[in-house]
Amino acid sequence: MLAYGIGVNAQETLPRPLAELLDEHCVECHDSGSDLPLFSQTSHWDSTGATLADVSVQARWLKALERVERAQMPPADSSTLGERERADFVRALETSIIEQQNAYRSLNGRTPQRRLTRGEFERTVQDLLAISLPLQPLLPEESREGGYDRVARGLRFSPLHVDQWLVAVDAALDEALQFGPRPNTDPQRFTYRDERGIRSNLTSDHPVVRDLGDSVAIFTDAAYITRLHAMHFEVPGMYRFRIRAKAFQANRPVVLQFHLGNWSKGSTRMVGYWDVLPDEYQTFEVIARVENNEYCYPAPDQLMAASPDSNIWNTAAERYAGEGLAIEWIEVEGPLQESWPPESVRRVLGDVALEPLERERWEQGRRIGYEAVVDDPHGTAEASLRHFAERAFRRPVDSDELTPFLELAHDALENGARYEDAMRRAVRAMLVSPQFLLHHEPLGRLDDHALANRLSYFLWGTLPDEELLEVARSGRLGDDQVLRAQTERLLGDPRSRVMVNAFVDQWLDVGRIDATTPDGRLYPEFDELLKQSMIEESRAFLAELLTHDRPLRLIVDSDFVMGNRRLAEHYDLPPIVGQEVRPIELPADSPRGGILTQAAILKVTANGTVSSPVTRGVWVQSRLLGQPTPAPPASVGAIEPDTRGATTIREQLDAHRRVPSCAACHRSFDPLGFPLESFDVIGGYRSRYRSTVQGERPEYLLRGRPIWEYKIGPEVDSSTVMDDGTSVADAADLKRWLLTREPEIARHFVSQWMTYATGHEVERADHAEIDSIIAAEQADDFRVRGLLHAIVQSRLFREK
Amino acid sequence: MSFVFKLGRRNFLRAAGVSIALPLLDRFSRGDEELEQPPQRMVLICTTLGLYGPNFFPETEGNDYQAPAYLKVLEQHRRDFTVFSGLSHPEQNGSDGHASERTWLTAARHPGLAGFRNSISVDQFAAEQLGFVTRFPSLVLGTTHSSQSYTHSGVMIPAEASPSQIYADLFVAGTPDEIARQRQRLSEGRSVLDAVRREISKLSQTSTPADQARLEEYFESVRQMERRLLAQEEWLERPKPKVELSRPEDVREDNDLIGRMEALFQLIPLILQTDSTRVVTVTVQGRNDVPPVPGVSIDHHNLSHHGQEAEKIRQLELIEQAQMAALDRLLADLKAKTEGPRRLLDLTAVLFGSNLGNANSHDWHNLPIMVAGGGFDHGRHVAFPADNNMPLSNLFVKLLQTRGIEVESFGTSSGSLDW
Repeated sequence: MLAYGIGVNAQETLPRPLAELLDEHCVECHDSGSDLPLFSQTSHWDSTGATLADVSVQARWLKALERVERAQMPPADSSTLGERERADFVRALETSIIEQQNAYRSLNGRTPQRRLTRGEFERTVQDLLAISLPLQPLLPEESREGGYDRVARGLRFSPLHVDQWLVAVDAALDEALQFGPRPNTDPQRFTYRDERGIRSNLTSDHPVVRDLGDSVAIFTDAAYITRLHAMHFEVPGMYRFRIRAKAFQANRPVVLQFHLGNWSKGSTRMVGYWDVLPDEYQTFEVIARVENNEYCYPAPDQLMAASPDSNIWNTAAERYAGEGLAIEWIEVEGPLQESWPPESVRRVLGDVALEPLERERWEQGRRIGYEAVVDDPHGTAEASLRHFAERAFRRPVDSDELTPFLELAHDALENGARYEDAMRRAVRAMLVSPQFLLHHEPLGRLDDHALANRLSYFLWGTLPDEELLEVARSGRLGDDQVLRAQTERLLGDPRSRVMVNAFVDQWLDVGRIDATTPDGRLYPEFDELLKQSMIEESRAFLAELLTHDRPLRLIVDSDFVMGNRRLAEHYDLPPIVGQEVRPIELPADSPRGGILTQAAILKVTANGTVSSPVTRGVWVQSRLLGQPTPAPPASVGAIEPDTRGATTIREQLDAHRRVPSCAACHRSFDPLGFPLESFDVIGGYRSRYRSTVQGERPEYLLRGRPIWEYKIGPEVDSSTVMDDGTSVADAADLKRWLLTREPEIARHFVSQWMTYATGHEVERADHAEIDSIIAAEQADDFRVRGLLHAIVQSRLFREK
Repeated sequence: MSFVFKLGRRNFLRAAGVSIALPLLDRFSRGDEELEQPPQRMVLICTTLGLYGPNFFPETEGNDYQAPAYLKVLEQHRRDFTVFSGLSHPEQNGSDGHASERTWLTAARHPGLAGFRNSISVDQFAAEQLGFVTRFPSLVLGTTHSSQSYTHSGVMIPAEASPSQIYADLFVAGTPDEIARQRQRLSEGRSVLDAVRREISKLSQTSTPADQARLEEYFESVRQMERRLLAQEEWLERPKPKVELSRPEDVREDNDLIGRMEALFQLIPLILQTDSTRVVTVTVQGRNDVPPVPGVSIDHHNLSHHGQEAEKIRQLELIEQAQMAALDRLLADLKAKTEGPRRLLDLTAVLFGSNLGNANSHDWHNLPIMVAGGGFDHGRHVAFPADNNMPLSNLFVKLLQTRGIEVESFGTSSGSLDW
């Protein structure tokens, strides 16, 4: 990166001890004529005369530092490098690198100026304008450099961004400026008995629904049956849905899934799911956003067939004895607005009178029922824009800065534009301006506004609320105790799940859950509910550790999981009722506990068909232990998957590992993956592999029906020997082994969280700060909330 | 499936009442002399889940190869395409098995790994050189919104997936009211960006040197966008070409990969013949669901990881045969249209292939690649060593050069590929 060279005078030659050690121990293999000409000569950092100020030169030396530090270089069998010399080498090189990084930072700070990510943009605009319109789909994807989409280095600019910010802001302002007539927001109740489609199905030759007098029983999730045509939406927004239902012909709960969207446009999404009990009706409630021309689709799920060969499609509803869902009514209320025209209009226009028109009119396809009445448009515009700018720019704004936006509004007014159109233009400019899109962080220690902004975006992913702003305005946020109290307050707010979810999704790769879909023949039990439950488990687990300040080592092993009934089934745990996620105590013999045996992790480390100890081992090594894994040599082909049931992955890998150049790295990470072979690609426990070709028929049933899709294949062997010689039989042994590396795991965890919190990767110059957090928190078992406070209180968080 | 672009250039001008005096660079206003040098186009198509190798690569080199199953589908075009083996981008091991999807048109190394930054894709590079000489410098199409086209700063340009929207953008004239509103929107956009641009330069005065570099990138992005808005405003004044095809319906089903691919392919000859753009990319995005191809019951992505199972390979072949058949029709359509004495295909280099060589193992070497049309000498299987691949970028350089773009290198090229 160009910026690295700016204004920094770097040390041009190698420090003496380093040059001597290189001469003696490295150049023989790495000289300019070699295959690996890393150090072409030993007087300068690079043969071109470039210094550590050059980012690629620095990266090369960092790699050398890591390899020597971990004793991976020089090669053990030919090295004469003593331990003391190794320490000298590491110290000399590390000192040079840290000096360089500090010199750079004294001019530029640590975190380059970040722009809003697309998630931050969405939440910020929504909060500023009091709207719920999703904006992320309108914006370019972020590239996630350094592991997280908030890392400044990856947050680039392009004409495409500018184009799409303009589009997204337009859409947001369209949504905010609602002058339509007041919609009827009273609750309305609907029943399936009044649905035309249901009535015609009831009288057809082969009904798949049954009229129960007070309700209608449904046995299928087919959209054409479950869609409630009578309920339609004219005004997009947040609505409250209430569904009254009970399980039918069941002696255990059935699942009610609630979808919104438009099936024929492929836009349906699950917005709620609940366990529904037999015997008596219960009411379930969810608040969700709906767009124009969308419908709701309440659907039964996880229904048990009455007998292995019966289903609703071959048995008419009156005679069908299997489980179903009886729905009495569905109620809808909304759009949920406290006033009309909605608050969003005043957020854009300021404090103006909104008066109903005597006669409605149409304008560009929209009904208009209200208008803004403004006596002094110029003055009102100025006051409103000033107020808006202070919120949008997240800091005090001087008049000078306001001028270009005011000019836009005033020019428009001069040219005869209506007040709302003039304001719209100025606000549009503000929302694509650098003051809005960029986080303002001056060099050195963050002032209170910048600190409030960083804290709020870290924990909530959006702008500071009024209380935090007030503390910043009063100049007290820099006080350790005040900062701590505000951190506590923000963590106590449900919005802090934004941080928990985004961090888990990226640190553990849970966000890649949809990268592959399990093979429907090998894993017929996989469904949407299970997928949602696994995502929720991984996220809720960190939330639980954070909320209750539990020790970090629980991420390696815990005596509980966070789950619901669907997940408890998947994990073979004693039965529970309810689809809400809560802590579930594990039986002593359960292989679960910690993150490694979470279904989401096991799924994202496998493809939809087979798992690989290599992928999983590399995942454990990089995500948990924080050791970078070198990329495989370009010439090495991956293992060719073979699911015919004739060979196991272990047999294939053994052949791979007999090649010495492969074994050098594989011996460190394969053993971290083998113990997880006891878990399949959807995180189910297995003692034998499944196969579609060779093997025995399963004797157990899947939701009351036989399994014809797969066969039971070869046995799983989860044993291995770690690189340090420890024998490991299974995942429980692996967890025990990992617990001996607790400080290493804590160090990596804190580094990752720090990266997320500050928007910049942890570099060598940061190691001392991270080490001091680790040293201070070790006595307290690395309690997770304590770690978060340590991060927020650290110099790294409180300086640019 | 074929349709005729009936209005000749002159007829069109007369019909639309356009004055030749308009200060235009577009195709319809050019003199006959320039028509002697007709524009060279390129279409770059990638199917992201690979193509089953044994059915794609001929066993022998040269002219007399025995066509394997997939090339048999293209038998009628045998003299109009060249099939390559032994091409790939170097160092594509990335963050996951499909990471090379992101770099098929860019050749950036190690997609997704630490320090990775994508670079400009070959189509956007060409579009940048050509500019607004056509209504659209490039068109980025796909079966989903996912594309392989990237900006300078490595940002993915979302693909347009709706044929009906593409049709509207290219061929449907707005009402005077709509045009006026559009003009208003564009000029308002420019005035907004003009205000913003001034703010950026003010801010950079108090920034650190590193942040100034970032602000500069932002500034440049805004400036380019302003220029684009201006160019769009100019194009707004020019009538859109009329075509005989009526507005197509979109393929609604997400899983209908082939249907979506065919619907896009159907528009390509019209896009090119009306000179709406000279650079088109199509990403045929493999999916985790079952495409409605008769005989296929397993999802496409899983089939690509066939694990040598005979049944999976059989089903995979059905999907890939259908893709080859779509390509066959595209090539036939491009041959059927002419521009002056030449077939449209001869003025259009069509690159078809994948970012995966062996999808079963996510291998990104030995990519299946073919080039049709474009005025090249065709009919051969050109083989490079399987264990020492030729950079695919060399082929990109050749395509660019023959499209009239002066360039010595692109991506990881070591030269220009001649065959």
